Amino acid sequence: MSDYGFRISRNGVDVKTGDDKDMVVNSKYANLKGTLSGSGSVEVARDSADHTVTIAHNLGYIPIVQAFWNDYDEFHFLNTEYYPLPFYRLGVGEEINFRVKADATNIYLIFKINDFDV
Amino acid sequence: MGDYGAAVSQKGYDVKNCADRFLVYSSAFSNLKINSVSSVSTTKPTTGNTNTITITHNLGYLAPVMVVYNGSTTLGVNSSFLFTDSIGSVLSIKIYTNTIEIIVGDDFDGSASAAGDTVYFTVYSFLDSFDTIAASSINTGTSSGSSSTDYGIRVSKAGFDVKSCDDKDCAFSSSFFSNIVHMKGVDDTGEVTHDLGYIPAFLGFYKVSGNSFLSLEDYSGYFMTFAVNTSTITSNLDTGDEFYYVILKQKLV
Repeated sequence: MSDYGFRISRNGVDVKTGDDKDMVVNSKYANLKGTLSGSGSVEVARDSADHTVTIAHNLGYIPIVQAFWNDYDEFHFLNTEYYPLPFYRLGVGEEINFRVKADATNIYLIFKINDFDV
Repeated sequence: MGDYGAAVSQKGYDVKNCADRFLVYSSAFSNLKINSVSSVSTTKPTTGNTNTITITHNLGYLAPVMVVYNGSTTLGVNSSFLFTDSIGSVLSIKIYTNTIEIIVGDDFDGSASAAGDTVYFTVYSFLDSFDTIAASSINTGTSSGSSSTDYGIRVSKAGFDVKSCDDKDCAFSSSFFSNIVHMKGVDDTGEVTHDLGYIPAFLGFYKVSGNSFLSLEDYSGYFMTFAVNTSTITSNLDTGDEFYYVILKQKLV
C-alpha cells in the first residue's frame, strides 16, 4: 500500500512507529459506521411462531445489524439486563430463539418461544 | 489526562463538550478497526458430514470478528443474519490467533437450505486485540444541541475519492456514529464493571478452558449468554473459562 493517509495514536504510543492496532484512527482501516439506532417493544407469545419486528433502513444494500433484547415482564430475567442477539436457550419445557436479519430495505428482529408444555 | 489531542464529533454535536458517545473519534479512545472483509462459501454437506471454511488473518493474536450468513442456493442471498443461520441456530465459529473457522454441519440452516447448496458468509475481522484498555470517560453528559448544517469530516478508504465516494466506502465520517471503545480485555470472574451509566453495545466471545480458540458457545448448552446492565456485563463462565470483550461507547437505551 502506498505510504500516505493519516493515523492518530493512543496516548503513550508513538504515532510514527506504533502498531496499527494501537492507533485510535488509521485511514488504512475502515471503521464500522452506524447510521440507525433505536428501541421498541414486542409481545412474544409462547406459540412457536416467529414474531417479527420490522424496521426500515432504506440503505439499498444489506447492512450489518447488532441488536439486544431484554425481558420487560421479567418472565425469566431481570428487566434491567440486556442480551445480545442471537440468543438461544434450550431450557426445561421451552426453547427460546431470538435472532436478527437484514435485507436491503429492512431490519428484522425475529423472536420465537417454543413452550413444550403448550 | 493532558488537554491535547484531536477529536471529531458526530454532525450536530459540539466536539468540545458533547458526551463521549457522540464522538466519531477521539485520541483519548480507540476505535474498532476492520482488518479485512472476506466473502466466503462452502457447500452444505450430506448427513454425517461437516465442511469447514478457514479464513487466514495472520494477526498472531486473538481478535474480534463478526460473521454474517448471507444465504444459500435454495434460500437466496437477499438477506443476512448476524452470527446465526436463517432459522436462528448460532453459527459454529472458532477464532484462532491466525485463522477463523466456520463449521457447517449437515443440519445447518435446517430445511431452508438443502444438502449440496452453496452457503455464503461475510466475515469482518477486526484489527484490534483484546489487550486490556481500562475504562475511561471524559464527558458522560448528553447532547449539546443539534445542527443540520452539512459540515464535518470524512476520510475515504484507499482507492475511493473522498469527495464523491459512497458513505460506506469511507474509513470514517462525522455523519455516522462509530465504534469507540470504552474498554476491552479478558475476564475470568464472570463480571466486568463498565460504569457507563447506560446500557452499552459490546462484542463478547467465550474461551472455554483448554481451548485455544474463541467461540459463541460455552459448549455446555449456552450461546452468547452475556447480560449487560448500566454498570456491568455478566457472563456464564465455568472455572477456567474466559470472556473476551470489547465494550463500546454506544448507548442502547
